[in-house]
Amino acid sequence: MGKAIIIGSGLGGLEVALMLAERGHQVVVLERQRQIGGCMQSYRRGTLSLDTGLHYVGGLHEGGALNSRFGRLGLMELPWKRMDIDAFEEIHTPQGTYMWPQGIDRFIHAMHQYFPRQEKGIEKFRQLMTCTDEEWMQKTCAWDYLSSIITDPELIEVLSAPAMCKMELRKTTLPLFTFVHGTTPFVESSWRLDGDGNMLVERLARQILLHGGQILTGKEVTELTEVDGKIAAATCLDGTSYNADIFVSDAHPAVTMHLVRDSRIVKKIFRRRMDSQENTTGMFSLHLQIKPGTIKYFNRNIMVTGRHSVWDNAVGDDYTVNGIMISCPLADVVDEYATCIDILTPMSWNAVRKWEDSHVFRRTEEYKQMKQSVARQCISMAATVIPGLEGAIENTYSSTPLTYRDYNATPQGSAFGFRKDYQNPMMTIVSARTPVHNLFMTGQSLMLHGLHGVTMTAWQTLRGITGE
Amino acid sequence: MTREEIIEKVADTLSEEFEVEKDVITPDAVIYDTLELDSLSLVDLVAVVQYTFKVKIPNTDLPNVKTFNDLYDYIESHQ
Repeated sequence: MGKAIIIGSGLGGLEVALMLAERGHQVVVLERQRQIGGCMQSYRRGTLSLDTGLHYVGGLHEGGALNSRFGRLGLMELPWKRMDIDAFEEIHTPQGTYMWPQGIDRFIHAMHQYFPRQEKGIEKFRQLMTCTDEEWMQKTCAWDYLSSIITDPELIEVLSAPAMCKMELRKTTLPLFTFVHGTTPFVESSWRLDGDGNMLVERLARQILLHGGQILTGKEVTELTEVDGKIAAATCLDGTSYNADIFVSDAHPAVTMHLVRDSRIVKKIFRRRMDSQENTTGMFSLHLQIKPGTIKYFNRNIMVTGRHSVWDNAVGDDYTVNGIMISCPLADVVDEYATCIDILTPMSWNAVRKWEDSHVFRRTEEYKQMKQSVARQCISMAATVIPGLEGAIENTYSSTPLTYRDYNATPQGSAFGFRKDYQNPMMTIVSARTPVHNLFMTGQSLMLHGLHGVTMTAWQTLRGITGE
Repeated sequence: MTREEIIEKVADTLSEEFEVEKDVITPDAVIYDTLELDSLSLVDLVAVVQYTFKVKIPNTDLPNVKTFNDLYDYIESHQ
């Protein structure tokens, strides 16, 4: 088996690295940051470990979508805790409050109770949840389909609200495939990790090392050198160079193709196609440090929506928060009380574009004020469903798409990578193969995002490399 | 766009984007061989046509577009 270089240590990069190492490849992971993990990394502020990418996971039950894949990667041994069976999602709209129970039958039953007049639509939604016709779902508009089977806009809102921070709910582009993959596994079973994202990252890293692999940080790859039609070496900013037989990039595809500078193989159009793909929206993440003993841990997510639909509700350049997801990290719980609460709201690149020339720790006062304003709106929205929240906050920490861009080298701080378009699946779903036969890609931009999507994609990349 | 304009623009853009000589793009030449396309770069052909002519070639129509003449016909009838 040959030597493999993995560029980037996000979830996809580490998963591919581990699978190759297990198959006898000599693996070296090159990470540009000092910390590994990409979107999965946690960062420390005071006593808290904060996550921006990991909140909950779907389909870890026996026979579930992610169970066997996580099992084969050693990730089922981590302390996963099932979220509330009767209400893992709690949705507050201006019109009412709704609980999502786990299990497709129980979920459907609950929807019938809430919306007795939407019987036909709910049954069609049940069929959709177990649909296996991927090609049809890739070519079908999620919004149009939901609107065609359901006549009550409130039910569409309730069925869509939990997806608000799991995907870009965009009426004009989102394929049904992405919607279903971000919904069904979670309804089947939803889990939180009793730990932070670093726990998952470290677990993968440890196994890579056990299989003889290496993980090097502070190694920003600046060039992939093509010799005789294949990539021969990855050169880093510090001047070091690494030769290998196989190269796998977990970086954003556009970033990856810019690394291959003088190529005989990569045609202009391929680069142009990678450059011209649109990116999904970003995310505003607010972490609230909670005073000890004030707010009890809640084992579910809480969605609060405003007057606007959760579709196309990202914070734009008017800086108005239209809906939030509230999550309570399990890792920081002390005596059943929360020490941290996370609030997320989608935020578009337009909202932060004017500060795009600034970098972490060197932002302007105006940017900081914008963050404070958005944070205040998030908190007051959350306080409508968590009594006493405002008085229980000890400290706040927030991140925007700019933060994501700077830490993860993701163009426009996109939270979910390339935007998939149901009108054009062939162009917006990117292959793990590249025109250079020993250069492969992996990560959230290719086929599907999220822990589930990235893990499925890692297997696809492996198949591309080994033919398995 | 007239057929002549389409022919001229196909030659210009495909030779530029796929980095081949302009004179190899002739009406009867087979696109796949001329541009050295495989299943992966086939998407790139679709991309060029879409960017340049605002014409989308769905998967189902691709098998019917074999020669450059077929491509001119396709663009002409779908623009």
